[in-house]
Amino acid sequence: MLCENCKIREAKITLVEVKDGETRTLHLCPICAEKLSLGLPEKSAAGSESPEEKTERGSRIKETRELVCPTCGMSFSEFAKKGRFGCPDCYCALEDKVKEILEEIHGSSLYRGRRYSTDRKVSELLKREKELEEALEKAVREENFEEAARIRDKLQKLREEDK
Amino acid sequence: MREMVERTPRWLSAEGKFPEMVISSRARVARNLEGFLFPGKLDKTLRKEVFKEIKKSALSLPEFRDALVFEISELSDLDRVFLAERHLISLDLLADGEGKGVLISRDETLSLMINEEDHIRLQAFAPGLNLEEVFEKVLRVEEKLGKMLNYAYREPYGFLTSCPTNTGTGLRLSVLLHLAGIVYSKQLEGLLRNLAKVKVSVRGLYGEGTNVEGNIFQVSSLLSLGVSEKESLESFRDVVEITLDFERKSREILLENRKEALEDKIQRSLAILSSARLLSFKETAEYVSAVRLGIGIGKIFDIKVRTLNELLLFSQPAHLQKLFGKEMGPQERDEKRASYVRTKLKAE
Repeated sequence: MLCENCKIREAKITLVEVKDGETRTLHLCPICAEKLSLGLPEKSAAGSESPEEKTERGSRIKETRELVCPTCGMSFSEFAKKGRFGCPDCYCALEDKVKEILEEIHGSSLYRGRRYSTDRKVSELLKREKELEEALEKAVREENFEEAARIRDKLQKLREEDK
Repeated sequence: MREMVERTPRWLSAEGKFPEMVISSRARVARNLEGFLFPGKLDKTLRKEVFKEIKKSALSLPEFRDALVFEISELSDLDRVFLAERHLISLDLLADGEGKGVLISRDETLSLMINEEDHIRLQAFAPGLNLEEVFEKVLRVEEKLGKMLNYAYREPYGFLTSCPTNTGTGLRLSVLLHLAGIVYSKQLEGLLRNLAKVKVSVRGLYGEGTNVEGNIFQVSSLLSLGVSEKESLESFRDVVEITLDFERKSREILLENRKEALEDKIQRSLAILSSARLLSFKETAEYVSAVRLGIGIGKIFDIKVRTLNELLLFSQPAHLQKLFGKEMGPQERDEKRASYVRTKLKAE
């Protein structure tokens, strides 16, 4: 099952949230779980801690709240220094800031390019194209130009179809 | 590499549209493989694995049949600079590091850098203004490779790259422009201000962080999110056309107001190139630019743009040393450069 928050990593933790008497169950990956649980309001009643304890907890939370990519260990501050991500998962681990940065650079974070399907099989069309390209080369090598012109036309047609 | 030395790459052949103003057009895409850290974080062993996998896939394509394959760590410093001077590898790839390299198609119109900033940096080159050709070529090869390799592509951002400036389509279009008219008429600042507004970058001869030599500027598109590939192409083509119009107008104004001074500059530059005994690269580039402008405004007829491209290419330090077949210090280079330029111009 995929994490219900980032929808990318595997959900490994079930987080039960109780809010206004209602319970909500979330299946999360470790990163989102940590992020969300740290973001919850403090459970302890006000005034039950000394000011020192409060500051200590505050700084600890601040420290652990720095976003870190679980895959490559890139922290947000390291990214800010280098301006380079460490791996594809950084995009998800540092997500809120990533969107902001992309919008600042490109004026938009919306992808409008061609779709890419991760179907790794070489398509029939591509196979056919490769065969034709090989035949064309052979014809040219053998100086059979009539044949080469015919194959070139076929190739052109195939590429048109491919578009 | 020896066979490359005396050959002029096709993209410098001055065959395309407006070759005097547009030296070459280029398109590149950045891609990464799913399941590997980006090259900057990837250890040596895995980098080598990525190199092998990409190389194997690329070499199975007709576009890379009999391609030249270089692993950077196996090249001498001189050879690395030689490839960078030809724009086949970036300055980033010069630094040592195993598992980094480049595949170059026989006609040098395609180069595939492996483990530079991204696992894949695929570039297509063409002479003159021909953005459509390089655009189609680079995307066609990218698509074929993508059926054999598993690219890092995820919603909602598209193709994921090491630098956020390439996220999305990973596409960048660029042209090398000769803008002597704009520079001589002191309008460069105005041009740069306007280009910054339309989201293109202007850089030196070898790209990011390099100097402008011989009034040659690399102008590149910048956006890879919020626009489709086609829209990138169309808007960039418009920017290039407008810039070229600006250059043409600047030349007209120069001819109207400073005709004598301009002609003097052109002829004087040609005279120096034809007879100097010592020439630095910077000087050569400046004089070549003036002569180039001379061809552009119809004052010089007996020299081909292609010859000027060759002068620039072989005047570069690594090319010069390769051409003369030995390592040379700066002083000897200046001498040999002048001798090469003289001989070449005499042969015209």
